[in-house]
Amino acid sequence: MRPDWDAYLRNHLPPAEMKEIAEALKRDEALQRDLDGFRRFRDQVRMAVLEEPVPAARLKTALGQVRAAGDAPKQRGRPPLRLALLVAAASVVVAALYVRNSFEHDPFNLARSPEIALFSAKDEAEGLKWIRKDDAYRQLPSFSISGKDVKFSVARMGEDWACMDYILDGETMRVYIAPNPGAKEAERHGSGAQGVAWSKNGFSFALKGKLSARLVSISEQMIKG
Amino acid sequence: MINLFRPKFERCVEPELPVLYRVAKRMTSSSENAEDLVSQTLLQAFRAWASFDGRFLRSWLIVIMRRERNRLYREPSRVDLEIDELDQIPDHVVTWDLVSDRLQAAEIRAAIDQLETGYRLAICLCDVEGMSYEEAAAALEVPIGTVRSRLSRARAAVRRSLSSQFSPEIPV
Repeated sequence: MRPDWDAYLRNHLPPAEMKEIAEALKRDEALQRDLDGFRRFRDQVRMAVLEEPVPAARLKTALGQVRAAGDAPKQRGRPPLRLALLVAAASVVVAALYVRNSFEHDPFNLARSPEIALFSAKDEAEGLKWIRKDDAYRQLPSFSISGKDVKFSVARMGEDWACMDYILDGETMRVYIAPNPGAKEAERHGSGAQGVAWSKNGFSFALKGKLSARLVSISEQMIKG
Repeated sequence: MINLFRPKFERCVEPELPVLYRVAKRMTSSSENAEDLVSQTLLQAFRAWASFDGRFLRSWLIVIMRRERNRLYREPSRVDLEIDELDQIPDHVVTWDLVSDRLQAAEIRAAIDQLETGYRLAICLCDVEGMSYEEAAAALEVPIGTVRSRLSRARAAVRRSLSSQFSPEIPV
């Protein structure tokens, strides 16, 4: 057996093949060593490049100068400021109603808009810090899922959602987050085969997919914690 | 119609700056040129921001960067060419169980930088920056299968290079 470890770790193989490899790993120590070696190699490559110095201050300065240098895109037909504010305010109300109403219908469907940014944070805390830079997530409570068997991967953002990716047992686990200003007390919205969703402290969370006992335990900790 | 909800360019792009710099460095092999390339990429991206469809920001920026690189250095990017140098290395023939714990970062970077650009970027985007095959394929403007193939061969080549130069305990 010579699995494509990368495809396996990314959960890109057919379910039957994923299951076959997972079972083979339990009984074949050599295969497990091979997977560990692959992970080690990939981690070392990642760290070797990530530890190179990045001139962050100069890059940020360059970004700051772009607007002045770049002939800002012309916004033809810009409406009067008062009208724009009125439209914006009305849209915010409609969007808020939409979020609340649609949430009631499908608490698992938090990522309704396309992804716009991905951040390869060095750890979970840095990923959360990046998400909190967005005003809508400034009050996002801290949580800690990473551990011996759960590795943080990347943070992602859409226009009205955020997401933290983790690797658990070689599979990607995603914690979706969306602002939900109406949510105060911890409230569970659903669980079962499609995952678990809950809201708490002004945010909605969803762990999608069939949950193992470990994932159920993690979600319980997040709901109570 | 004005999109009142379009996120601000600077806020969306700022988290991508380190990634853009690392990718630029893999494209130019020089810190100074990498900074210039990032600056040019930002400028072009800002001008084109209204046309961004909201999907895979990082991939969109890297496409612009690749085009800027071709324009600035007046040479065709080898990223887009079919590269056959490594094609003699079949996919998934190496085992990984004896990978050393003691590989040196500088040696790994040197091995990556020896690769052709297409392979170098495949490793950089997927293994270093954690992009999905789909995102990397969009960034390199190639099919997903090509990304997987390049990634697999690039890893094998890096490992072979480390094996022959620095770490004789790794079999190829």
